[in-house]
Amino acid sequence: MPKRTFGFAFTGILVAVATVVGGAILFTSGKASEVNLTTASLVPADAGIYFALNTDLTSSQWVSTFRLAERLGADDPEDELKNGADDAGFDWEDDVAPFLGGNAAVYIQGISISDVSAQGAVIIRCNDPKKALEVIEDNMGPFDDEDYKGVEYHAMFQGFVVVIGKHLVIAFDEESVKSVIDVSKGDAKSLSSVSDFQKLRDELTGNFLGFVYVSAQNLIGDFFLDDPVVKAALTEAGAADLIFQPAAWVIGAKSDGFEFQAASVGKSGVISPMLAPRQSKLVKYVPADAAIFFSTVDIAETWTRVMSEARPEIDRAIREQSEFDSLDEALRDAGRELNIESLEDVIKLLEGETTVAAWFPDGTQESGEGVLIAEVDQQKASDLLKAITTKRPSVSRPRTEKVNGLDMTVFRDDSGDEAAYAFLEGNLVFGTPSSVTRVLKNNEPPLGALKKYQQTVEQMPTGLGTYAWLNLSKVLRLAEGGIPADLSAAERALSGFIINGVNERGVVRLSGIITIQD
Amino acid sequence: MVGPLAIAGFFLPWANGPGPFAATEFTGFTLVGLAGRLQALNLSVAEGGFLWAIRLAILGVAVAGVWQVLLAPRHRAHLGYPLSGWYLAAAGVLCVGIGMMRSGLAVPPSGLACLMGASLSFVVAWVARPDTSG
Repeated sequence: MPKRTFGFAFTGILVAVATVVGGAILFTSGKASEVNLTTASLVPADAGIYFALNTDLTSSQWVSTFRLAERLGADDPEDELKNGADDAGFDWEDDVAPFLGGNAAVYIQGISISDVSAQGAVIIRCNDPKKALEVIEDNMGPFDDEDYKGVEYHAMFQGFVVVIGKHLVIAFDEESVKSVIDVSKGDAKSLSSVSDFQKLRDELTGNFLGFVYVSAQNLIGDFFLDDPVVKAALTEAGAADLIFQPAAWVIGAKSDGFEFQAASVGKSGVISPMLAPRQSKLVKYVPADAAIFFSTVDIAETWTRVMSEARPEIDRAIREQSEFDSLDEALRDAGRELNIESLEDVIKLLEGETTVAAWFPDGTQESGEGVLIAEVDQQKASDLLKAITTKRPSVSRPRTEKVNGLDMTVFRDDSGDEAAYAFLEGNLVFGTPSSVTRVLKNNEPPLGALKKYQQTVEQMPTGLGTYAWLNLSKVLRLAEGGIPADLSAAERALSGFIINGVNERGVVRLSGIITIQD
Repeated sequence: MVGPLAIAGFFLPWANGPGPFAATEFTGFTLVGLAGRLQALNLSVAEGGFLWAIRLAILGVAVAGVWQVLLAPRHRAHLGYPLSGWYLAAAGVLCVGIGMMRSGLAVPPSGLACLMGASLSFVVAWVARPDTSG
């Protein structure tokens, strides 16, 4: 091969090597920011509560938190953290830094009512466990050295402490220290080996600031959940699935806001249709200045499921607390008032997505307007609404107006207030005449196109099921009568908020995002 | 020797963080990761660009180390050899300078010491290279 050609080829190889090395480092260094719950591998499998905290201040979670704190008005949150420790009489570098090794946790193994006690410990993955132990000894010593299965642990003032690898374990009782040593020796199972814990951890905690796992069965099972009366009551109430199953909560920070999630491996049961992940089809009709937006789906199907599961209990409750003999009778009575067969006919209309939106033109509560938009069978809905609005024409005085080429029916209710409905591309729009008009005439980009809304949805770690969105800057102004100047820096920085219930990958979860703007 | 020292130095501690990060030892590798996490925030174009420049500059140390490993044995005539060598020398001087500004005259962290060693080794090898001009 000519020398010149070889030189070019070799240069190409060097560039390729640089690309591969650079790419590999960029990829792996980014992945390294995930928080590993190492403390869970020392916690006994039958822990009732496990609460872990991310202590890696250079992790993406803390980096985002510091940034968000600045947006909320803090001058220098990193230094404020350090100064806070200094003010409490601790030297950050000597007394705090040795304990910051990635994650720290508290667990409680079980609560006993008979002798009012609970077992548990604090487990801290340390940067420098030896130095951390010295800090403990300085503050809570002197130590009496003990030995269990070849591991040296120390009795101290009101507790026990042991170093296991990079972890420092502090407990108030000797049994708990021995339990942790058993787990570390492999003589007892760890929490991290429990499948429900693994499932919830993997679903929720790639990254987090705080993580809580609760197993009610482990925590209070012996004296409470095994009680046949309590168990029967929970089962009858339909809450057994969620109460008996482990649940977890996580709070974290993202580039534009804080997130929280609550999840359970319990089944969502009758409300599962409302929790299916989906995208809102109706948000495109909602005006962008809506301050509140709620969306759910399949109310009719959920109603049918609830009725098929719990009708006898509901009937019994209605019999006991009203003049009616059953729910059916109560619904028929309400239906007669509206000139329809049963109120259930209205519920059964809501087969698709149902949304409610509200906005406040003057920034005051008094100026509030709301609208309901729902995917319905237009013919059925039209017949039903006609029957309702023509029951007493002298009172309701229905009339039809043309708005943007569409028919809008305006009528009065029994108290004389005006309401209106119309059909927009087959969807029912119901509200006050001005709010329905607003939706029908809206030629501006809708809420779904609003950057603030999109930004909040993008931050959501899960799909959307049944959810509510709040435009916080508008909602907070309501409290101040629409005067932005009266809001604090933190209130002004709050942007959007979503709370969302969804069943995704077999885990029922409630998740929320609060976004913070610059 | 230059290449292995630079690569080892990249993965060993360069410095401790400031303020509440005082307990955290940053290596070249973790600095690239931290700069990446900072980039995930919604930064201005200038801030984002500055962070990219920092990340690439630090990555350059690892890449230059690998180039030295490939070129030093038999391909010193290739332009990549002095390019990567002088890059390491400049990076060493810059990092040691920053370290001295922060901590004064002190024993450098192991990663920085390796980087200094790589820089010095290259400069010595370059100065002492046999004269092939005639």
